[in-house]
Amino acid sequence: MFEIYLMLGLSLNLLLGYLGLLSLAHAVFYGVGAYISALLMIRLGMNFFFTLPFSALGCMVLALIIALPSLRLKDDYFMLATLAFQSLVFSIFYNWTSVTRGPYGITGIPSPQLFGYKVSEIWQFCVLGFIFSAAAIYVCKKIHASPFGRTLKAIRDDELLAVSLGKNAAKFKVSAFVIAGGIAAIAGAMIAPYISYIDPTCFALDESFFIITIIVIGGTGNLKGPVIGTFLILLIPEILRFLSIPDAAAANIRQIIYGLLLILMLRLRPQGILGEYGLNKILSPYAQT
Amino acid sequence: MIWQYIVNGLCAGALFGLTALGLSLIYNVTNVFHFAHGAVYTSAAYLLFLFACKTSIGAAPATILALTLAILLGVLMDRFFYAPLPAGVRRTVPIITSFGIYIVIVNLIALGFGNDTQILHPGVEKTFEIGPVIVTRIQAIQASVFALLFLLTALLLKFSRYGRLIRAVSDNRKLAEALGLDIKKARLLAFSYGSGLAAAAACLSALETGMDPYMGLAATLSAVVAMIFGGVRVFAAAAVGGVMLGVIQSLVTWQTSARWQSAVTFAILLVVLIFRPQGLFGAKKRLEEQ
Repeated sequence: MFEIYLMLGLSLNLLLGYLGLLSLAHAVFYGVGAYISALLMIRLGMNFFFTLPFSALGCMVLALIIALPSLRLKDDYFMLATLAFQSLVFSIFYNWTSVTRGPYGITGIPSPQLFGYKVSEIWQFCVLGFIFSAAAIYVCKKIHASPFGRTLKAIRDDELLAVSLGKNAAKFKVSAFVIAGGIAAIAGAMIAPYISYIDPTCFALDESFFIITIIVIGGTGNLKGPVIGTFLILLIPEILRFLSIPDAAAANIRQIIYGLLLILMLRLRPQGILGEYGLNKILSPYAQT
Repeated sequence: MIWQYIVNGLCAGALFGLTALGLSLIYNVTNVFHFAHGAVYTSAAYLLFLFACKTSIGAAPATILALTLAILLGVLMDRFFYAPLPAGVRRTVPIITSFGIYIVIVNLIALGFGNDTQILHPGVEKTFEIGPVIVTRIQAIQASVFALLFLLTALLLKFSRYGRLIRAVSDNRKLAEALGLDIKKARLLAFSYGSGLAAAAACLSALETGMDPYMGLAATLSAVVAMIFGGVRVFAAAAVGGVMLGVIQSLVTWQTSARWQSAVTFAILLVVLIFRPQGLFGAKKRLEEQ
């Protein structure tokens, strides 16, 4: 679980932390990645590792489709467009029963196999997840240190200035979107065989909020933030279980804690625990509306 | 058959319209995308349930009490969470804050009352037949409350002193501030009146179909679509957009099935955002120039 949410956190961080764009559609990439991989494995009997490129590619194309119209929209309107997209895709997962089996979900997703070696134990999944998330961290680290990453931040802080220096803001935004979509797709492909069952509610709007919570609390604009955020956020349910709170109430209490953390962090430490970009940063006068 | 669906859609749309009108007032005056509007909505329904079914104070006082407390909740949200945010802050901050507030309140309600649907008004509704159309009593109440509140809001905005203040602030906040208008009062008015409208819609909806803790999010999302669909910068457009959305949803149900309602709703939102971001009745102005 930790590695999967870490990858999702890293991927959303590219948008929220580096570009300052709030995307509510992150569960879409996660979900589409999971569905593509699971369906290819079940319907066509493909090997898990061969489905990964299809998942990633599918989500990258999807990210491209979302990113293009979104470029014209700012702040609230961008957020709304991603919200519309999230709800639309969720509705498709739910209602396109001939492919996704709708609310019944897809069951019996087989374990990944590589050269006859089966990944089915939890520790084996951990190792696999570790390899994938290490790859994701590597990509994000490269981006962080590269001119590409710095340009993203420049666009975030003052788009007009970045454009006036000859940076093609639209191209950078779309690239960041596509990379983020690809990483989230791999996380989705991982979750499908790990819990061996997926249904649309795994990829609802709540899940997008959850990923946002991870990086708002952990921190935005660098690599440490999502790591600590994922760790802390996944620790909370375990603590509640340790306190032996009944299951029915625990789900609600967990949500209340997440909500309070969101409000408090934004007020008291808007860059997150280990982040470096304060979400509350005042925009340059030109970018204010 | 089609008339029945249109009437059902009009009544459902009346509730979207009320909620959207409230959202639009708040958004235009304060620039806060108030998702916690959904929390006010849910709270109003549950407060009504609490006072009407758990105490014996009667229907009218219960409704008044629920509406008042819901308005207070909306105003407190602004006072404690939105108002302290610095001017010119990235819009992301109030949006995430409002999600936070929404999550906390709705889950508190779920803890208190359970996650299941609660029924406010059991039994079969009295119905009227008007020509080919059957209207339930609650639907008639919904439509008339909407018409009344819509007219009242339009008149208040147009002619009263406070209405002028709200219009001035939403038109040009900086200019209004420079002219010495009371921005704080405008915020207070927008949040209290807007929350009141949402609370009224919530009570009407709870009367018809009962309530669950997650009703507020669905209502707010519909209201958001209605507001964008109608036009963000025109108050009346939000209400009209809501009614139109209700009719469209109802016709979708007629032609296909209720499952595709939300897909169509959000497809409308996407199409409007991309091709006509000022909304159906909005003035031609690029969003960036606001």
